[in-house]
Amino acid sequence: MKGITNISVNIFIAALVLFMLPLPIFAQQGERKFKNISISSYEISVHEFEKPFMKIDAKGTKRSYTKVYIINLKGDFGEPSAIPVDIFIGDYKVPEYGGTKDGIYFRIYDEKLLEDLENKQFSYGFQNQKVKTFKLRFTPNALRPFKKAEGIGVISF
Amino acid sequence: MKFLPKLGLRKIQRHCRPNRNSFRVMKLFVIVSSFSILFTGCCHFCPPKPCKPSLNLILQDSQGHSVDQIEIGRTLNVGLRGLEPNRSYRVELTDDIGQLVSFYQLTSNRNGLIEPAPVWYHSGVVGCGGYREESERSSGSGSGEETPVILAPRKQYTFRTLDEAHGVLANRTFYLTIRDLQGTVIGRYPLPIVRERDDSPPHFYFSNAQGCLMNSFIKNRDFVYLTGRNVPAGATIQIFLVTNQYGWRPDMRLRDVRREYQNKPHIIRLKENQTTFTEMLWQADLIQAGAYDAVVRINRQELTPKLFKDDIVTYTLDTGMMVQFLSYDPPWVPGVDFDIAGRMDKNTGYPYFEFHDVFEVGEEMWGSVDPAMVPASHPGGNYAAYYVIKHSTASSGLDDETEGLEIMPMKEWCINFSMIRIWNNPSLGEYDIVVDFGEGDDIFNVGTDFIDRSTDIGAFVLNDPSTSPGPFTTTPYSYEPATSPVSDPLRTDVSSYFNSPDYRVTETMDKVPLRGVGYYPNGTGPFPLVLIVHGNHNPTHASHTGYDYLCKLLAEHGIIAISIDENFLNGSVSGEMDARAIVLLRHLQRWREWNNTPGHTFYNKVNLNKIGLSGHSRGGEAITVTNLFNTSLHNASDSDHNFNFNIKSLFAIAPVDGQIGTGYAGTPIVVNNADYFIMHGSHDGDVFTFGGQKTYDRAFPNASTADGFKGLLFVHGAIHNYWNEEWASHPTNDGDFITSSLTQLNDIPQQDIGKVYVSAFFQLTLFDNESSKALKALMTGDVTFSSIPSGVTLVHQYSDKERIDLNNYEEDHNSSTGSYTGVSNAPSGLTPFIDDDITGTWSWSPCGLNNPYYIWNQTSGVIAGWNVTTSNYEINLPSTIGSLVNTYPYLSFRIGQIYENPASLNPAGANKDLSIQLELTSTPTPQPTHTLKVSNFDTLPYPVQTNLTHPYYCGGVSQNVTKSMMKTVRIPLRSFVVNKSDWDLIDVSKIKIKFNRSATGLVVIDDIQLTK
Repeated sequence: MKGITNISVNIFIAALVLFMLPLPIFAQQGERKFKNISISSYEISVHEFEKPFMKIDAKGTKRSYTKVYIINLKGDFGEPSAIPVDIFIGDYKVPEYGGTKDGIYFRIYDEKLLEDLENKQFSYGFQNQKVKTFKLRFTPNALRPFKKAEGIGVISF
Repeated sequence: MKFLPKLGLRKIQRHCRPNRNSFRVMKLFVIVSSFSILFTGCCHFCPPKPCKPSLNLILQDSQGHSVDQIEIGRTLNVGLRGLEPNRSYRVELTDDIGQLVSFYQLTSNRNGLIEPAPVWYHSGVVGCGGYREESERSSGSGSGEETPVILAPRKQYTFRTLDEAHGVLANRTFYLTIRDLQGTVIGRYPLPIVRERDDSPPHFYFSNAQGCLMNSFIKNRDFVYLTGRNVPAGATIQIFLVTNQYGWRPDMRLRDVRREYQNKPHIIRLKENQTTFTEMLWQADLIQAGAYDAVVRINRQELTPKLFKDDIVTYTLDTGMMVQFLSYDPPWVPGVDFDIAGRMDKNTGYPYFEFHDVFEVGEEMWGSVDPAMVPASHPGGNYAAYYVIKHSTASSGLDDETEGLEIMPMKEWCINFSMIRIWNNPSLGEYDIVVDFGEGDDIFNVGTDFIDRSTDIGAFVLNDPSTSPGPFTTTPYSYEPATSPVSDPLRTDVSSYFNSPDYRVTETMDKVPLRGVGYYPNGTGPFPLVLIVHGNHNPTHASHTGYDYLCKLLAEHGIIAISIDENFLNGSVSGEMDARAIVLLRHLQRWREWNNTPGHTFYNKVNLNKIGLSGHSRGGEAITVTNLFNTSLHNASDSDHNFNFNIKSLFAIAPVDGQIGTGYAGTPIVVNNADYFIMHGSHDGDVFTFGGQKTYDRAFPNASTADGFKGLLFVHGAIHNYWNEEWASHPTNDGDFITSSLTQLNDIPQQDIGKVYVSAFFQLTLFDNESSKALKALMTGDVTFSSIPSGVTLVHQYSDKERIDLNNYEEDHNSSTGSYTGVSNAPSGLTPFIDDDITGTWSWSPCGLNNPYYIWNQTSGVIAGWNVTTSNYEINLPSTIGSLVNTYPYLSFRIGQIYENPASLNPAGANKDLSIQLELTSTPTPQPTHTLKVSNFDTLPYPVQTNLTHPYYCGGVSQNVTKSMMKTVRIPLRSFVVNKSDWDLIDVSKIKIKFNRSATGLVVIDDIQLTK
């Protein structure tokens, strides 16, 4: 009994000592494995607005559109972080995109832009700098007619 | 009673003899309390009044030698150890018939110690100094007596010469009595008075040609002599005449103030049987106003001008001597800008004592009077007392707020009141400090007494800004739209700014919720409003709840603080920055509405003239975009864009840069109309590109149009995520991508730092009271608070709203031109020396920084390297600068060590030091001021090396992302002329940066300013 008491006291004391120790101010570090940003494929769909859609373009000007092309890029675009992955088609930087389960999506409102980007390669980068250009090319003409857009990316009123 | 002559200690027996029963109780107590102490580190079972330790009496002469009697001519310093903490005591010296000779009254510190302090200067020998002798003669007293006229009431036992003192004092016994302020005598000790003995230590003092003690000299009238007594016969003696300072330590440099002895020592050799001498040191026409010490070295071969352990300094605890101008009468307006309060400089070196106005509750406050600030015409007195009084109450009488009044005897001819601890445990408030000449008469005598300050506040005693609970009780508050109707005003349309939400987001961008959670202070208000906004993260995890610790704290300090939910803009998204800002502005619209809505919780409770924003990561840029859109997109006739809020201040936590979109893509934001602060960690593995440094550099580019201050805090060891409690709880964090020789901080200490700075920043920028304004000292890095974890390196940058840019290097890349009209620069012996754009841009392919100096700035500046200690950088100033020094009392510059890979000019891990000196226009030659070590004001740490191995960046290959950080060094201009009453900063003509304290070095320099 005495021995048990001693053990209990010792455990209690050890716990007390641990409890009394100041919290460490420095942390332990872990490890991460490298995962490349990748683009494997893409799809284009189109959505026609019921009424003209007003949007501010990259120059800050309001413009009206009747339809929008929705491009779904498939691949690995990393975990959400402070510095976004930039996506390029040729030298065109996609100004706005959102995530999907298997990649990202973005819209092109301007028919002419769609044409201008024909056959340009996809690239990714950060802070307006390209890091890697993929063999995959953007060929909307080969994919026409586009299917009607559904689900994510569709703008409804 | 037993002497401990080696230590100069006397043990005072205390009457503490427990009887047998109490002894048994004590035994039990010892056993129990030992057990308690063993495991808890404190004594829970101690009785309220345990037996006190013995009292020790410390007796020293002015050189710090232990003594057990008074030698005629020598100063008696008395210290006490083992007192009750925080209590005042009087130490009285009485003669053999009980008449008071001299006394002091001091307060023991928290450990029951009174440090040695003078009780009796020179055993009453006042010598032959003083300006009054001259003035009395010239006024026609005509007595022709050589005895100086002493205007202050002459004390008994004051003597002109040693011989006079010998005649009165020799072989008598005086008594030292220690009593508390209730009059209880704690101890009484006889002190024999003896003539100087043959085996007494050598004794040196300033004198006239006849060897008569002189404490002060008049320029153009008096020659300065040094008299030595009891010197070893035939000794070789080196003499250094140096500027007085508050303390001396071995290895300190000895700079002789006499031109002829600046490069060779002043040496005298005594004859074989000669043990006394009187040596002329300085001619009357050459002496300069100021306060000085003499350092004497006996029989040593070394001529090195640095202090050796056995060198003798004339006086250690008080000023050696002063030189004054009879004709010099500084604009003596009692109470105006007369610094008294201060703290002991934690760094070694000159000055040890630093005048300061800001203290933390509980931090020891010290007081001092710079003798050079005291006009020659001041009447002085026998005693002076330090009062700490409530601000602006001096005229109604002196009511000391401290544990006790400090009263010290004054040295004849030389007002000197150095290094007195005046308040052990200061309490919250705004105070003035008064030096009352007299014995504590409780009256402020205008024209005689000193006050720090008469119009401004002498000393602020502040709570740690992160003190919790704060002065306000708080109420949690949250808001969000109802599920229906969808037209709830707490939903808003941001689809024209961003319309590509992540697939995990359930909201549509034309009806995003205005959801906030936080606290408000209980009270009538109106209260300032702070909105905090998170950055990007997985949208399925709430981010906005991660700043609860900041919101609660701000509310406790009188600020409505709400964390904004922008989770619907999070995820794998790009291009949403503008929407983040618009959401914030739409929240502000709601708050304006509520403040104007009778019956609402916040009706008339929000001070809409005091709005602050804080943002983290992408939110850190979003607040600057908000500030921009607040005016640029404001349209009073468009309800969606009717903004124009009074946004006063912006606190960015590890912000990104360059993600603004609509109409501004590629146009960097320049903050120029709100106080702006950035906090960033060295171990940030997310925004490792350090956008905040660039936004800092760009902010307030022009001194004349700056409408706010900017500051930056770089926290060694801090990561990106830990400033958000939700992000911090994730199993992995951005810090995992960083490897460094410096271990990463844990979340709690990192958040503790954030709490102090966020709270202080918003109190400083959103409140108008003087105590809040005093928190500027935290932003500049001049003060710290106890809740900031010790051992963490904090690098501050600061640029005041009110400043003169002498060199910001933006005007051109010519090494000789300055930024302010008439300023020119002259580098000498610096290799490399580069005056250029020093913008650091991270290249993503191939990965690496675009400059070899690891600089991440966006500015122009100077790179300066040296490998000879004669290298310097001179900034020549136009005469117009002199008129600005009163308005801009600090010299400020950014400087930092450059990281080299491999190390070359900067040894890895070592702090860097250099010197700064001013030059004053003077005839026939310019007058150099004191040379000040930068390390006395700030440390220049070696950059913390960090490597990034990120799963998505740079092919997963480790990248060196070390930051060569500049920090802002602020030096009070007054420090350059302290103790030199005839050096006038109005004559400043040059700033010299001397690279003379490290054999080699490589630094980056920018933003040389005169500033507030």
